[in-house]
Amino acid sequence: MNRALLRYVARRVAFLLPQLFIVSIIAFALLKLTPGDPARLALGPAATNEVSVQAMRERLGLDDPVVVQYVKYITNVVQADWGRSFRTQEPILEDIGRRLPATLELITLATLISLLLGASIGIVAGLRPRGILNRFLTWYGFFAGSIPDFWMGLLLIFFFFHLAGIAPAPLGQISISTAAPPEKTYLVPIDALIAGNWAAFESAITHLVLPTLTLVLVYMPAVLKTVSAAVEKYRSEPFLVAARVHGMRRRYVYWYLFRNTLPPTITIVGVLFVFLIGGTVLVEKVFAWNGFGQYAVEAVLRKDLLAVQGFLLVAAAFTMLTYLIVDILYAVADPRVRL
Amino acid sequence: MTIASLGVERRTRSLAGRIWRWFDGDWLFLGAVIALSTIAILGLIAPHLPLADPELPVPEDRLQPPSWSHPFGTDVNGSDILSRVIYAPRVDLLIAILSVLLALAFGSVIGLFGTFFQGRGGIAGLLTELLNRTMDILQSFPAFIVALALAGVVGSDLWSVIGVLTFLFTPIFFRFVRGEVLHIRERLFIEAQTAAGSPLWRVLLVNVSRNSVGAAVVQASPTMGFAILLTAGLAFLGVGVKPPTPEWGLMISSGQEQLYVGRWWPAIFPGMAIAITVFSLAVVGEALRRRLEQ
Repeated sequence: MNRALLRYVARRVAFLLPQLFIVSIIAFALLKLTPGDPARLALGPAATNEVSVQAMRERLGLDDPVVVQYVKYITNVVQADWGRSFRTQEPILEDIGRRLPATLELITLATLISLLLGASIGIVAGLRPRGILNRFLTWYGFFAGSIPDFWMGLLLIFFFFHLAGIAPAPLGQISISTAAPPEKTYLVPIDALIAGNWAAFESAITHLVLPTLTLVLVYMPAVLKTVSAAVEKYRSEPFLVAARVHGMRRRYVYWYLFRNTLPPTITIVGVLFVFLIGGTVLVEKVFAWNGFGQYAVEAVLRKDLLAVQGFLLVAAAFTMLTYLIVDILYAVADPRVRL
Repeated sequence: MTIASLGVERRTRSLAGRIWRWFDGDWLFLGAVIALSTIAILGLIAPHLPLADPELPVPEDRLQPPSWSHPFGTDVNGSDILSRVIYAPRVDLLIAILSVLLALAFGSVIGLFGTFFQGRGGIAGLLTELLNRTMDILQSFPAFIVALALAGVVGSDLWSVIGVLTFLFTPIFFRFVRGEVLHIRERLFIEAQTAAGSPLWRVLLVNVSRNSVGAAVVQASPTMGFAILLTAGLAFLGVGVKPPTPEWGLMISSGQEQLYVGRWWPAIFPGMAIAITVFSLAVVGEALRRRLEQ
């Protein structure tokens, strides 16, 4: 049985590299189609001297055939040279490495809380499909899906920061008056812990509350709905009815029920995580989170093409990695997939 | 009462009665349809309503709280927010409707022709396989990331946003049509049509398409909701349509900082408009789906 699982995982992993390769081609092609001369963009509005523009073109290799340009680019990417952002004058890989952790921290936290809350409420609601809780949650789910997440963030800021005054100002990951701990992991709470700086740790945690709550309020119903629908479906399946009428102990019946709701739950959590990789951009802007998403927006607005390319590659890699993990967990939870 | 008289009675029912029958006592569905038509009609006739110019800055009226002369207050430029909220569907709904219709058309055509030959071998079969894989890869990117990158690439006017959303939504409708076509092409009546000597194009365009596009059409309504959320999101980031266009996402964006200091009206009203519209579209989609399944 384990061998079948291993074979499945190996096959799935083998697909990862060609997929990434195709994504890199798409990202590259997309930005080649962008109107505008990258050499002029890199030099900025002051680029009036034709000679320097031409020199920049040669330095960037823009006169080479497109295929040669791609091969050069991808060779460099594999060797961890993703080019320099003309905006920050820093290597792109370093920029991303600095700003990605903040986003991952936020969306991992939001996904985990959505899973815990969504699964537990979903089970309770699914066991009583005609109950008042389930009906209320159905409508809440519909409604939450209609609310722009950035607007929800603003509402929370209005209530908890402006009116109640219990939330910190929505200006980043740590309060301005608190000295930030030295950057090691680029995760502010963890950095604060490493430095033993309790004030910074407390500030970082309180700053996490509202953005996380925003994402949970808007996206948790998706998990909830999936879990309750699965519970509702499987509780009347013949195998469980049979188990019950044969007098199987209650906790075993529940165990088999929950075991069957695992696969759809795994899928929806994966889909949610992937969505949030790009989708938190808006919430990041509301809370001035300064994460990966905001980096991408700045790059897009300033037509910093290499940085956009890097963003696409990292986002796609994370997407594929998440789906890989989802598929593997799915295979563990549902042995039929491995066949 | 005989069956015949029942039939007569049904036909002579009033218009209101017939509409009520069609809604079948579904209050929420009726409410959603009323809300959507109100928003759309108000947007259409907005230039003929006694409203302030939505793009006109009035410096001395900046940031007025809601009052009788400005029921929703005024924004940071002194423009009337009620007027801007009513004008906004001319952008938001237009983008949503056009992008979804275009994607529905492309997705259906590609889905029809691309799927019918799947697994049938030959060049057509090979092309189908290629098409399927391309659509899979397109859908594997998170939607908002694609929208963001594309909007950056193609520019940020109204038509670019429509193009980007069409590109994003085509695979959604392709999937729906594909699922139906795969199922329908195996049905007996298709085989009968082919056996009776109908040319292939006729079978495809008449018999298969008529029976497979329904599922995709039902999906159009919630996808329009998604389109509105994406349009507003892009504008909020500054990548979509530009100020001073009356657009809900832009209005929220310009109200963001006001909200931090307690001026709630510039951001709250457009957000409510988005929520009501998207919610209504979801309700309509759900009601149509249930009707199709019956």
